[in-house]
Amino acid sequence: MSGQMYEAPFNLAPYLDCYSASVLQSYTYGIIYTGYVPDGLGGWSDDEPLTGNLNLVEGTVTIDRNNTTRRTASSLTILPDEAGTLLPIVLPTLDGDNGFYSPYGNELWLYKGCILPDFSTTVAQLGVFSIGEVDVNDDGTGVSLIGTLSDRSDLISRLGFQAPYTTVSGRTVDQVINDILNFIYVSYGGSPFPQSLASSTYVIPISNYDVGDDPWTEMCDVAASAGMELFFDYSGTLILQTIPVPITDTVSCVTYAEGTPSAMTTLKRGVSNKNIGNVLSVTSQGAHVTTPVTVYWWDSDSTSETYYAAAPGGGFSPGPVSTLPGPDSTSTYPTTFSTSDTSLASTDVQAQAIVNALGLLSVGSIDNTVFTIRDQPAHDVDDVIGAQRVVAGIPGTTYYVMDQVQIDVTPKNPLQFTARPVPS
Amino acid sequence: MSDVANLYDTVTTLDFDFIMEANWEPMIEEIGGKFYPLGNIYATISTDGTKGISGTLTIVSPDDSMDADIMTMLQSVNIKLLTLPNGDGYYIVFDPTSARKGAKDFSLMNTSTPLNVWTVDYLESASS
Repeated sequence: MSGQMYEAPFNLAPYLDCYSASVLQSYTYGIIYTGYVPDGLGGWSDDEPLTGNLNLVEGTVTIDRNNTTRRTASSLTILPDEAGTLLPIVLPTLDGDNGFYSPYGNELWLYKGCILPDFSTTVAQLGVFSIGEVDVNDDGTGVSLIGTLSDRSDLISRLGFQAPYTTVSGRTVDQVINDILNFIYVSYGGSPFPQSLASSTYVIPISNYDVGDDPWTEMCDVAASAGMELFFDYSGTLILQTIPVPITDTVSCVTYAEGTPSAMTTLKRGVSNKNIGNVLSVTSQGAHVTTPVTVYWWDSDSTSETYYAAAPGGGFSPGPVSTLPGPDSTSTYPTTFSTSDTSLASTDVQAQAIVNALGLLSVGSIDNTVFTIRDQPAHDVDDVIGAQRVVAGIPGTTYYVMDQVQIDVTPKNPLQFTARPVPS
Repeated sequence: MSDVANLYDTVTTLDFDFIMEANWEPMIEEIGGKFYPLGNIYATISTDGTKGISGTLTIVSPDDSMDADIMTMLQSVNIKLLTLPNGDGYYIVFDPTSARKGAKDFSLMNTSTPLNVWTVDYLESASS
């Protein structure tokens, strides 16, 4: 379970109990904090709250695993306060006096939850967002402030490589990511962000980066070279982790079954074989790759619509495989081959980890389904849910893993997520 | 009824008194939207089952110095508690769909005396 639904401070149980009985009053707000700024002592000052809980009039938070900036917020609208502490000022005073909701380094932390029958509240944190753009909209009936925001990865992208950088020989994936962070923040004495980087045994071949390269994109590529993912989570913590395998790493957190008050309100299944490969390969080659290798992954789940052939060693993910067998006689899916190159895998085992991760994210995507539910702001990418809707072709409880979640911060508005079936 | 009522912020200590109009009679209604879960026979209403109270409540601040505090309180996301002279208590739940209207309605209106008037559009009862 990679989502926050089972984690403090959000307590799912009372929410779901009430949620299944009726829809509760939503409760949503944001708080503006100072961004990380150098403290002048070689370190960083902690986030400091600049405001209390701010009303959110409207806006959408999108969590997308296929976007290198995993969390974004758009049309995030708040109203200026009477004292004018939020409004960006055209010509701020020389001492820097300006509105807090200005794109000058502050961050907006967003929350959404509900008001329980006893009028206590419970909320899930939706993310920590760097304020990137604010439109001051005055239509004569009032002024509103409309923001576009991104998670902290945007801050890393903007830094860029300010000097050429070459990775150190023998460093593993997590070490290289940490090295890059420390390099681009070198003048400040190291990375400011809270982080949780899972260790990896895979060694990254020496890599060169030029001035102006995007550090965040390069770091994500390094993570992918070990079948891992790099992102900022809901609390603004930098996470490096192996991509969860839905069938073994996660359990269904909730079931949205037809005929119940907690059922989805709409669903749209897109069943298409366009660009859905059931045989994938990765070739690792480059100046610093001693022995170029090509390895394969294929859909080895006999219950899958895109089944190709059994895995040579059994199980869902085949071991390092450098030859591709023919399709099994029971395979009916038109074989669709997809290949990619990397210069970051030093061994066939590592290359296999890459292609296995690609396969893991591909399997089931032939049936891409968009669900709309009333609300559940704690949902996150990688959450697994059960669903049932007979007339739409989901006769029994089927498990889905989320790839994208869209949360409307406006109370009462529904939540939408895109998911694909979990292989059995 | 013409007496002093109180409006509290349940999180902060801010509260103030104001005159309750004698003929104030709010309408009782369900507040919230309807959802139609697939396969569910009946729509689901977005309340916890309690009846809400809707109406316009005029608040007269005692002096200009209270204006900013009152506005901050009315626009905050904190749950507010309204106590009436007859002993009734009501929670006021912020509704963002009315916030824009509220921002307009909350604007200052001068009276013959140096008092400022505010209105609250949505109230919700603490119990059914």
